[in-house]
Amino acid sequence: MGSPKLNSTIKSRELTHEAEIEEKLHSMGIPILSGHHIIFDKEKLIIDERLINKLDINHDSNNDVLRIAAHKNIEVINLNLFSINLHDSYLLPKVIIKCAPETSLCFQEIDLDKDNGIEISINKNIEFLLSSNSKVHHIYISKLNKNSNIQKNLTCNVADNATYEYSSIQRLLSHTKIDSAINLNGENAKCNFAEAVQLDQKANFSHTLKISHHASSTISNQRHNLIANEQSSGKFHGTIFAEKNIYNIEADQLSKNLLLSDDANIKSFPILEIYTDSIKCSHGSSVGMINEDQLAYLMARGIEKKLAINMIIEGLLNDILPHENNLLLRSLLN
Amino acid sequence: MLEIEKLKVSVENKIILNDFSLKIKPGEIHAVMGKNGAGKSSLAQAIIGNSNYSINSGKIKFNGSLINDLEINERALLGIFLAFQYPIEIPGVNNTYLLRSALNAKLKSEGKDEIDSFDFLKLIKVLMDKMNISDEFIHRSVNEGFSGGEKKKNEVLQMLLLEPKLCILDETDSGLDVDALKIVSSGVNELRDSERSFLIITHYKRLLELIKPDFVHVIANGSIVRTGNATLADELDKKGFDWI
Repeated sequence: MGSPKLNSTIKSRELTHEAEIEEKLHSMGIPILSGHHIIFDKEKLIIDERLINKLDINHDSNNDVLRIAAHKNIEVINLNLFSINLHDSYLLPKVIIKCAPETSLCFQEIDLDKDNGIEISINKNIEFLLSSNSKVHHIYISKLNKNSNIQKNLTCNVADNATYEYSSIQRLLSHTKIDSAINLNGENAKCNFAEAVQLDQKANFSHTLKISHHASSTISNQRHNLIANEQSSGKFHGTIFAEKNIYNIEADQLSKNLLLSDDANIKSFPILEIYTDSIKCSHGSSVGMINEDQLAYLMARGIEKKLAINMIIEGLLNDILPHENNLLLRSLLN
Repeated sequence: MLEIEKLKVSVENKIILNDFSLKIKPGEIHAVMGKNGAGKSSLAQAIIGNSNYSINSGKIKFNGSLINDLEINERALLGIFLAFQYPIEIPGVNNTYLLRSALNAKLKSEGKDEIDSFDFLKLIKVLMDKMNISDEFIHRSVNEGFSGGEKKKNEVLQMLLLEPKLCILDETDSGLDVDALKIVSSGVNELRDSERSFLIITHYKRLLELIKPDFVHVIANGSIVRTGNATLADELDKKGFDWI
């Protein structure tokens, strides 16, 4: 007897005008983002009607999958996927995003909850399929309260000459577990993976990331900064995998971590699984308290200690996402 | 303005300055020279209040008030500024943020309103033009990826912005080419007036040819062993330090 099929929380869907969506987001205090929105709002899937002409969007309720496909030669599309008004056990449909050759997609994934004391358990599963010469910039923003429990699986398959870029900022009081697998399957495929996470109270965060080089001339870069305060704990497992009989690989990995309290803890595992000799590779990891020299330098300019510490923390978050101009991301950073 | 009396300073139980005394009056420029490890940079760090430098005995007074126990930022807000020998890199913190935060801290301590972004950018642009600094400079992370010369220019830019009462320059001339040295020294000279004092730490007389000191002191083993006028720097340049 098989395990019972787990259906997502989503029970209905509707097409809505842009203005209505923006009003809804505005009422929740969410800054207006440019682009088109898809919202998981409680049990409803809300889709910006303008998207219908630009993307194939199909919610398959039988298989519980939301399929989004970007056609060939489209202009850059900003697609914002919100999960709001989260409640109880919140199971999202699996989201599969497919990019045709030559497409370019900016995909913003945003999880926000209100600190209303309700225990929330969120299960997410996102898969990207990047065809030749396509490009995806995936931005993940998460701000969750202490009663949240999030489990997320991210898979990305990148074909030749395609680029997958991931930028994430997360400020958490919650329990979060992320498993990510990025597969560089075609020649000249690239991945830039940058994540900054700030943990407070008793937050518990774990991210296992594996970037696999399966083809020659592939390039990857992992940057991961974690800041742990109070009694929080964080763990980062970052693996660079390169299989044999591939050539001219470049892979870098760096994890910089900051402890703000004696009770916080961070574990960082920079792991290499390299089976080829034709590779330029670096990896490194550091865990430490606030840099006293940086603190003294800022205070020597008259800046009070508390602000100076905040500037250093913000710096560590900004450092990983220096090119981001995303409004919501900035508001979370500040 | 600055009175140091019989100062004894240690770092990790090692005595760095011993029985060190110095008086700087408003408007004066003092140069401090000496061999590597003589205690010149330690003097600067002790004056600004770096907590790694412990004051075992003696007094540091600024405008008549004892500042031994003041925090580093409290001393900065009194008007003590150090242009660091090795400016610290702070990844992810852009220069504008640092400069504006520093200026606002100063304005707040003076009971004035904070400066808004528009006025700040106008002000900093004027100062950057004086220092021959390009616009993109202030949008980069503090000192990160800067050349040695850019770091030193950034220190002087901060000094011009904050208009401190006592400016301490710790080997600001090192790492500067001839043109950059002229720009930096003209920036310093612009700040000179009858109320503002300077303490210039250097190994070479070339900076002192552009910023004429009233007094030159030689430090050895943590205390002043000789004081003279600007000609002492010429003499040191010819003979070195061993004859003292």
